[in-house]
Amino acid sequence: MHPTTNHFLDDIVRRFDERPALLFKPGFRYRVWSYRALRDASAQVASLLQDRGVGKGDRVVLWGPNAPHWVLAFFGCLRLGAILVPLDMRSTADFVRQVVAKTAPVLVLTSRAVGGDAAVDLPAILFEDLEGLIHDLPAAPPASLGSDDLAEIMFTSGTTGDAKGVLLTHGNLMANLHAVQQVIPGDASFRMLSLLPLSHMFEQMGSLFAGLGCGASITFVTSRQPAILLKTMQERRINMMLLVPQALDLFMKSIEREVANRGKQHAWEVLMKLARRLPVALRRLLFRQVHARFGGHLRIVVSGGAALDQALGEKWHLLGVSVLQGYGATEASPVISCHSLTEARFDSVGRPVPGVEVRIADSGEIQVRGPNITRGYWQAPEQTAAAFDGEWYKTGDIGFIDDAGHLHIRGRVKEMIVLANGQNVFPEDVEAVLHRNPAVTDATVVGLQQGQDTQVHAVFLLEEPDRASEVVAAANRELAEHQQIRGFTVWPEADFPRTHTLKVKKAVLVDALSSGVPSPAPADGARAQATASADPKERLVRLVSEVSGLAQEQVLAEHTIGGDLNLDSLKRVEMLSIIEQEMGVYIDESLVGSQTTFAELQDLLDSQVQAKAALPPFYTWPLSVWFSLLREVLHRIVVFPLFSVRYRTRATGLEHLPDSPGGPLLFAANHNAVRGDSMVLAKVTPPAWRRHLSFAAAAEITFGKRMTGIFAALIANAFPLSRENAIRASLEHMGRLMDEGWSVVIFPEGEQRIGGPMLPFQSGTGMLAVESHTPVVPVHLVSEPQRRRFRTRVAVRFGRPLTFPPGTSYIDATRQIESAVKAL
Amino acid sequence: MLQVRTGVDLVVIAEFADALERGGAAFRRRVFHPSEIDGATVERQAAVFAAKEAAFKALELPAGNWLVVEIGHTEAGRPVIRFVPEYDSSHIVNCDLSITHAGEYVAASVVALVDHAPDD
Repeated sequence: MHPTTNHFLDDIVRRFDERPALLFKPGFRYRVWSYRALRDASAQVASLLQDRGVGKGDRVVLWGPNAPHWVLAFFGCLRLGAILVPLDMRSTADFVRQVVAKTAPVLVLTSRAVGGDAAVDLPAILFEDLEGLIHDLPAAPPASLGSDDLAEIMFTSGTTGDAKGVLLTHGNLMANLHAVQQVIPGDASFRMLSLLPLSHMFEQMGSLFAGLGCGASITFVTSRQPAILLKTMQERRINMMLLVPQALDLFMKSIEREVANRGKQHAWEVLMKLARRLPVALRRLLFRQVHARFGGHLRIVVSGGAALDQALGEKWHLLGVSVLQGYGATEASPVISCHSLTEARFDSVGRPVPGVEVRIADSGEIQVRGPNITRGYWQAPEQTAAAFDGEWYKTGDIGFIDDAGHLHIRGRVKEMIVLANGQNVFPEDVEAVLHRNPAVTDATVVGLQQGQDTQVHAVFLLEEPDRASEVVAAANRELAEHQQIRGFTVWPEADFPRTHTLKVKKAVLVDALSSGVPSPAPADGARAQATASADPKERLVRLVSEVSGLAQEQVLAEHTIGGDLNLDSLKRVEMLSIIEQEMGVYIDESLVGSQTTFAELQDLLDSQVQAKAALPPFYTWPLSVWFSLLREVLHRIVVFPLFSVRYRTRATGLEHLPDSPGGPLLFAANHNAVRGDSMVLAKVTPPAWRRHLSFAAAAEITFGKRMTGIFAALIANAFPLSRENAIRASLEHMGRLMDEGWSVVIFPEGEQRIGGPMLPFQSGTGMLAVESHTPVVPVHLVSEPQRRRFRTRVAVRFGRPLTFPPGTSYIDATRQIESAVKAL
Repeated sequence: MLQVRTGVDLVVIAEFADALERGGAAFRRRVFHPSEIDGATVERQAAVFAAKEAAFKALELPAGNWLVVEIGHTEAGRPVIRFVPEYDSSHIVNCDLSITHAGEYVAASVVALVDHAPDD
């Protein structure tokens, strides 16, 4: 077991070195930090922090979204022995100020995404600036630390004034990691997606520490839009992730809704029954269409943060996804018990992990002790004393241990409903019965004060609110006398108020119920409905209604966008952006004017949906080893000899290219010299680069006909670069090529005019250069006609590669590339 | 023939902030060059939006193509309009941009001297 996180980091670098550790796709290419790069960059962050006056024992607030920069900042602080105060990115400014007042930090590491620099009066370093700031800094040596040194102060309450800061030492974290690794060993084949906040111990331990500890790659996303999540899961072939049960429930309900919409409930039930008798590989085959929704590779989900419904866990198991349920608390760093891959059950939360002792107090409360348990709360001796019974931490949960040694949770002490007659009701027991009813979208149970009595009260999310009484009656038939639901409310909003781990905020619910009718549905609720609807027309009506503020009935086919529907230019671009984000369909704004009618907008959407389905072909076969070899052979024995008859080529500036491709390059060449410029360029490019070269070709021309497209793909490894609606698909393909190490040749003039002047470069050139964060090699081809008219001398001049830091103006980058090509 | 053209636009910052939040990354990608929003507050982004809208009105730029112009500023802090290379701006002899903030609003005004405006 490692004494500190610094020892841990050194150990994983020794074991996994250049393997990918962290991935992130801010533009159309993935950025990758290897294990070594992660350690080296975090040592540079430590150096930066030292320069800003941070030392051992100083508190540093870490407040931002999950991203590699979060991780670099995290390990940078720990290297110095600074004490981290991680905050959820959705924390309110008030809460953050409260935490700042309590912990007196010297600095905040934050992101523009949360505006952390403006919210608190502290020196700030922004994630967005981090790489630029550490670029030339040396690595700071690790501080002298022991396992008893504090690593983090985790604040557990986000709403009230009594926020408690849980003290976690390096030893606590490493002890819990060691225990988790014994239950779920993991290996370097794990490709994880980090979705839950890293400021929460469940994700921090389960994804970050456990993932890095086994050599996994951890991918972060820039957005949680369903379309982006699915694409990331497909691209990265994600096979493991941590989720809260609510997310598993939402996914399962969406699957079941679609099954119902297609009228295939009977077939679904038969398949589920059949699945019980099949091994996991066959179950996955049986439900391969369902798996495709999650990228096709998801095998393991660790569920935590709230109780997992037994039936829900079993359904996922039948689909061929192992759902491992655990139990923990921030005070336990956080894992107390967990199931292993070989012993997955859904009626318990697993056995206590190695090294953690669990006892059940006379009151039924679960109490734990072990090397992972906190020493207490930050500057709160009374709260610390109240949370411990000797060296046993009192979890506040009620449960029991069965004969097989599995821990079972009955509920939170605080949420237990105590009836007037002294009997106790655990809301979880009642909720489990309600959740089994398919008419219930979600339900939660609270104790509502009625005079001297406390009533078991159910609050529902229902698609058909009229069925609430029927649902309650059905549940009461299953519940014991004291558990009977005595009152209910159909919640009028699209969802319950929830914490960042999607737990229902029951206190808010009780307050709203006690004070009368809950507030009406907010706009976000309308959005949720709009997104959920499958019919594009219905979705469009809802979106337009939402953006314009008009009722859906007022959105009519003949209404004009600018006049009747009140969509000015700001609202138009907002509406088209939402369509793009949520439906994945790009509509060119220049086609939507103020006089465009809703019916015309609908037609545009339909045609773009069809165009999306008919994207130009992005072949993958030209990238295979065999076709690469075939291409090289064809080049050498057919193409280049033929070109030698027509062109006499000479290359200069090849010394600007590295000897071997260490990473991709973007070649930007003029397009006005000779007709076969692609092959001339290929001919003079050194073989080591040529074998990893791909050409962007006009989708409408080269790939307009199937055979010319196939021919171009075979001979030049060309791919279609669309200018119109499929531009994003082209960029995505190009990003994938570059991520796999292929260099790309582009002709920035956009069209070919042999013998004419060089046309202005398209500003998309600068966008490609900046967003692909790839060095750009300017290339100038110059043709010089010879005396023998059929032969032309072509000089190919390679320039020094140009690099563009993030945030460079596309126009500036385009101009620089154009000038560099012209100057050759 | 030389003509003077003007364009003005007023943006309610809260409405812009809502549109920006709901339109997300797609909104930013459609409307802004990275240099225009890098490190910019919502107010500043609203100002860039107003400036673009004013420029579109004054110069009759291709509608909906927000990326034709890039709003920057001089070293002295004065806002300026630049055009992407593929847009033929040769008919624009000169243009000037001014931006003002007041509480919940931001307004921009563009005055341009145009030679042989396309519609005339």
